[in-house]
Amino acid sequence: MSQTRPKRKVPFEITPKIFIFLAFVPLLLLSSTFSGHGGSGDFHAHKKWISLTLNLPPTSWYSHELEWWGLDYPPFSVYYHWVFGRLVAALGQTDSFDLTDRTGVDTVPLLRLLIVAFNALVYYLPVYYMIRSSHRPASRGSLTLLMYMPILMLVDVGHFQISNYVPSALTVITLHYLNLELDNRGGKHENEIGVSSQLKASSAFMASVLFKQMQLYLSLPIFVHLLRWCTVERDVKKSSKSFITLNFLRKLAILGVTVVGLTVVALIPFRSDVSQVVRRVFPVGRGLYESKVANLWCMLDTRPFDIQRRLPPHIIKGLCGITTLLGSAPFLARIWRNKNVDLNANVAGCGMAAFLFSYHAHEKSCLVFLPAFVSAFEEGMSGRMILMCGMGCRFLLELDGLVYEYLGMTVAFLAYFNHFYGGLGKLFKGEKWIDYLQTAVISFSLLLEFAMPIVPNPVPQLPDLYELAIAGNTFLGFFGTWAWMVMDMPTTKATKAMTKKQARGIRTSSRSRSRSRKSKKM
Amino acid sequence: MPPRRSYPVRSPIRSPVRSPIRFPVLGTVTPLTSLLLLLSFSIFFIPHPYISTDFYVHRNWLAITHNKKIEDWYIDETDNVNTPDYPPMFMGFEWVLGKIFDLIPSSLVSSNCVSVLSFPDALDQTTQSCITIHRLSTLTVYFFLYVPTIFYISPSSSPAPHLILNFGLLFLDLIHFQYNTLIYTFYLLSLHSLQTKKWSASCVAFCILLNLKHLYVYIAPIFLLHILSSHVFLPHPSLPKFLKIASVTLSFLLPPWLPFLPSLPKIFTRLFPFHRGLIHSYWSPNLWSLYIFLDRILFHLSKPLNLQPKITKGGTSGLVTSDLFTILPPIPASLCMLLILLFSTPILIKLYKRKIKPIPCAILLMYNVYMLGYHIHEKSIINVLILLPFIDIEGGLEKVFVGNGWASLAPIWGGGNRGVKVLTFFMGWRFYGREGGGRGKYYFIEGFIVFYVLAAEGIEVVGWAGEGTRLEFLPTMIYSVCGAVVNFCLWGDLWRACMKEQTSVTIKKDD
Repeated sequence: MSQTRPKRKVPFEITPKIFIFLAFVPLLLLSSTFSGHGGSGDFHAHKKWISLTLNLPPTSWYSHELEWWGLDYPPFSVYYHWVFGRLVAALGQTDSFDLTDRTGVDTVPLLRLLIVAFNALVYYLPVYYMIRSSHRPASRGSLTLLMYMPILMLVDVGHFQISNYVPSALTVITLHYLNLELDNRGGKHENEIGVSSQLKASSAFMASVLFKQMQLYLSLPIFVHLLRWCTVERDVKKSSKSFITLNFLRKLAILGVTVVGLTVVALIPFRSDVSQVVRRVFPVGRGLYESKVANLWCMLDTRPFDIQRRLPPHIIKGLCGITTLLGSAPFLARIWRNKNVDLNANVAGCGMAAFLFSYHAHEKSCLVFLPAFVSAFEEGMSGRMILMCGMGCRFLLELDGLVYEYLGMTVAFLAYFNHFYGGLGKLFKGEKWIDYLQTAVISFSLLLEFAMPIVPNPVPQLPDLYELAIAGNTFLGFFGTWAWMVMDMPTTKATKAMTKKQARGIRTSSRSRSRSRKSKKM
Repeated sequence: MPPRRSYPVRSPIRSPVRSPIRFPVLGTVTPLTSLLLLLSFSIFFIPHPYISTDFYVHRNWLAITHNKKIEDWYIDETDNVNTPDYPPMFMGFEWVLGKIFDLIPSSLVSSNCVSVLSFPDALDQTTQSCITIHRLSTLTVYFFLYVPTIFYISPSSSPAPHLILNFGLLFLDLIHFQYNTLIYTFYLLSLHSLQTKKWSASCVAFCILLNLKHLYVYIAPIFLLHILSSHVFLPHPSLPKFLKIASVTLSFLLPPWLPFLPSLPKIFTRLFPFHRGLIHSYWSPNLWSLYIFLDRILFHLSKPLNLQPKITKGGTSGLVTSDLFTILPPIPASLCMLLILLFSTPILIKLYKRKIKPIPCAILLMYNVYMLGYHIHEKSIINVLILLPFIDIEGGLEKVFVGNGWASLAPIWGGGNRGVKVLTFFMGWRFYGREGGGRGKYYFIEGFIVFYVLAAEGIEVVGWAGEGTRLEFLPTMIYSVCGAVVNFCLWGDLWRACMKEQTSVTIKKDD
């Protein structure tokens, strides 16, 4: 029996079988260690919050025992924990979720099983079916990578911060609906599609913000985009010089009611003390940055600059605000000016700017802009960004004892890329200067990966040398990408694929194909 | 709010590129993908804390070759449990490994990792860093000896991914801890050179193989008969050809033994330990596991049947014992040898008549040994599995073969992360799948394998088989008895396929 090998093509379609398989790949992390395996960490936080929802009325959730992992996530996230609590109760495991029990390590595998099953439902399923049905070839192209992002699995299931999959899914859904409206502007069904998809997009995004406050990184571009949409007149003849028209007010009111309504609904159980919720969710005064994060302030706080010693904190806070705004400004301007703009790339750019320049960034915050970035760019750029985000979180994972899992998952990602994109060439192909820069950054991190076990402590006076080297290296990659996005608007696959010529060509070919299929049936 | 319905979108681009990418099975992936996957899985298992007693065996051998003089290698009994029982060349390999260990900075390895210790001390004093370094050494052999050999053997053809990403071998070498890839390198090299008519090369590789592990003396007749019938006697018997082959063989077979001439009798008692008993402690799924299963059933029926059982130690206690049977007569090693000889003669005759190729012949021969042999270890099934990608057999048969073989290794996967291991097993099996599998009889057997693996693992999860309980033996017994039943079906099928007048088992052609 001879074996026929299928010809390899660039795949835009993942079959349901593969998608189900991928949804359960994180099970490989089932019995790994987790954040706080030796003392206390994110696992204990999430376990405590599940216990809170199990044992206490909602009114005391935001004020119970604040010194031991007090609740500091927005309401929707708390409801998510409440669902977990219900499930745990249904399985009869409430004993380990006593509020006084501060260990409960034996519940990790059970919780991980639940998390993986949940993520299959809240991330893989909606993202898969939504993107697959998308009319944008670019979006469908990004699906392959959205289905396997090692860093997302490692942080969510491994590190045990169980609040990353839902916001990522909501980001993808938001961008999907915003693009749906954008592509149909001026078309036959413009008005019907317009309002409904903008409603869906804004409620999805608001839900994501109410799930995780870090999603505010993406709020500026989406707000600007929606505001711009409010000013668009359906009839070009009617468009007046005045900015505020009846149409504008009507659209703005619709969006405002959605956003405010969702917030109110989310806060109903906590109505007695809303200010406490706000204080917990937005803790100011936690520090400029956390551990060795690959952003500007961590870099400026090292030996030659020492910014925190030279400048008073309130000035630094001001600087953070100004730089974040300046860093986002080019993208916001593009969104405001261009009618047929590549929205995903600009949203990702603003997210990156916020990560690089804002106050109190965390390594894990790169997961906020990652889904938008992967949706925006072709596979090589997206793949390199996924690798760089992994590098940014490497030391976080090492603290959790997950470094082998990190390396294993990353190599598996390369295998995945190699299989589905027909070779690793696309990952390291160079056309623009940014491709070379990112490839160099990734290669250097590989070099460090080998150097670390062989020469554990090269300079005794500088114990954090490797941490700083990896953070600096990753910062170089992130900063370079941001600068490239600012300097020349990337010719992304989205804009490329949507040029009319290609669209027409593909249309005719697909038609002829469907015709030929029909004729075969007949 | 607008009415809910789906709208046609402006750009009706439905399917720009529709190439249905199939589930990544090994037949469709490139060698690079399989190599990366292998690397990924092995990184996952590097920090794994479990190791079997074989780790202490290899650690002790390395320590002996590292610290003792060459004459004392087989005599030293500081550790009287894990004494060397492989031929001299393997000890030479351990010696080389010791030299490489010397290059590692002492800050990374605990100091007594390579020193000779008595047995219980070795258990206590082994550190995780020592295990990690040893694991890295098996990986080094895997990546720098085995994988290049695979690329040499099949530069572009389909066996490569199947041979590189062999989960059975991966589990065996990394978790159970052995240097099997070293042995399989020469196993594959010798058979492949025999297949491609590189006579001297195949003899050299086979002599090295034999000096690494003497178990392979079972396939020596294949080399003898095939070289005689296809080289020396063709077109007419030629003495120079024979002399050349004989001299090459002897000059590679004998020299490794020279330094050990004084301790030769001792080496031979070590190499052929007939006192160890008919079956290995976990009952590898072959004829004898069914035999002992029958014995156990008769033991429980002894009262109604009015039989008088002997009292023995438990068969699955993990200890190597020679008195196992309560009712049925014990099986001597000579009977096993006789059975193997009986079952192997027809296929060897067929080989001599040049009606079957050496690789299918080796598969059947090794399978005979596995099913009938004396004190056969579970891992011997890999001798059969590793050759399957080279031949064309029905896809379903191969898949069932691989699934059952890997499942029979389950007792040596060890404790800890059991769920992940079972998951890896199923994933690896799914990856392995070849097109054309999964219909008819084999579909049923596949289901049966899934069923018994899940049953055995389920019993452990539920806790019926905890340590010290009455049913402690049950998961192992399920694995070996169910595995033996499946093995008998497959054995019959393989026999039928090989013994047909026009054998349907042929060598796969290169792409």
